[in-house]
Amino acid sequence: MEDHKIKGLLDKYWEGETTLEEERELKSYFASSQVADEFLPFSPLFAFYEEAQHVEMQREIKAPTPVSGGGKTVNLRWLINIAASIAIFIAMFYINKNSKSNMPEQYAYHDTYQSPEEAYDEVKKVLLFVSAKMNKGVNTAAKGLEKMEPLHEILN
Amino acid sequence: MSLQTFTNEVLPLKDKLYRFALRIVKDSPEAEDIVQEIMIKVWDKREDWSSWSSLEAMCMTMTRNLAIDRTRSKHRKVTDLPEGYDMVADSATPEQAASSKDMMNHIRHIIDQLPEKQKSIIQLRDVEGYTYKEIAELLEIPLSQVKVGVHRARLFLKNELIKSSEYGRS
Repeated sequence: MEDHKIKGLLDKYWEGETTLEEERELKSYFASSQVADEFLPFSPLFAFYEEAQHVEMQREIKAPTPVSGGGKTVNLRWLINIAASIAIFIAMFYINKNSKSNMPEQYAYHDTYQSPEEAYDEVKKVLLFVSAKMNKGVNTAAKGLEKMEPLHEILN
Repeated sequence: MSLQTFTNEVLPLKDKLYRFALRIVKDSPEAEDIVQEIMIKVWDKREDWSSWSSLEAMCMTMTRNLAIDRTRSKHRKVTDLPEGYDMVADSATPEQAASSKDMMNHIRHIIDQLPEKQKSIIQLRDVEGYTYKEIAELLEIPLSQVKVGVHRARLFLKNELIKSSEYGRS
């Protein structure tokens, strides 16, 4: 008889048709030790609700202090964020400064030649040097290709 | 005057707000932060209290919005949580405690799979015992949506429970 009633209540419950009072009835039924086998799979759900209802916050809430003028409380998170940003800026500034002063002399820019002619000669010398190396490379490649010639003939 | 209202009506809501925030963010310190922040926000808005239809409903709505905000901003992974994060210590023997804890974690895992709105609805109805009308006001949705949400969420839970009992988990 009781089981029949519970079955009816449960069906209503799944449909979302039970009243709060009926839901309390279901909870106390499942909290009892006489739960019928057919309803056992649902027993943990109601036990969970019962337990979840009693979960409490451990941390103390800081009650507001009645300050005149209603001073606004600044969120600590923001303060930390701002402080961190400032710290990063300062760190970047110092790193930048240090790296500049440690820079080797050879990378520093300074004038090397007295006249444009002198500079032109130097550039010409360098370019000729590069060009000679390039010609040498081309010749070597050509020689290599000549060696390949017999292979080419065989293949054709 | 407002401090008295705050102490008598808002502060006692802290556990309820905490449970609600915890259901959404699933992280105890984070939920505690949210509650603390809500308390400050509510206090800062004390001049508006008279225009709120219910202080409690407003606190719950604000808590939910902030909690959702937090989960979005952090892209929090919703499954990897320390087990038993909202457990109450009880049970007579260690064996009983272990098996009941396991079962409770299983249920929580099933509830966690619900969409956020249905999860909130279940928390408000089945844990906190709010009426459908109150839930509609609090979640700022029509009553019909609350009813549909309750129905869908409970059906999902029912089917999952049947499934787990068939796999020998009861």
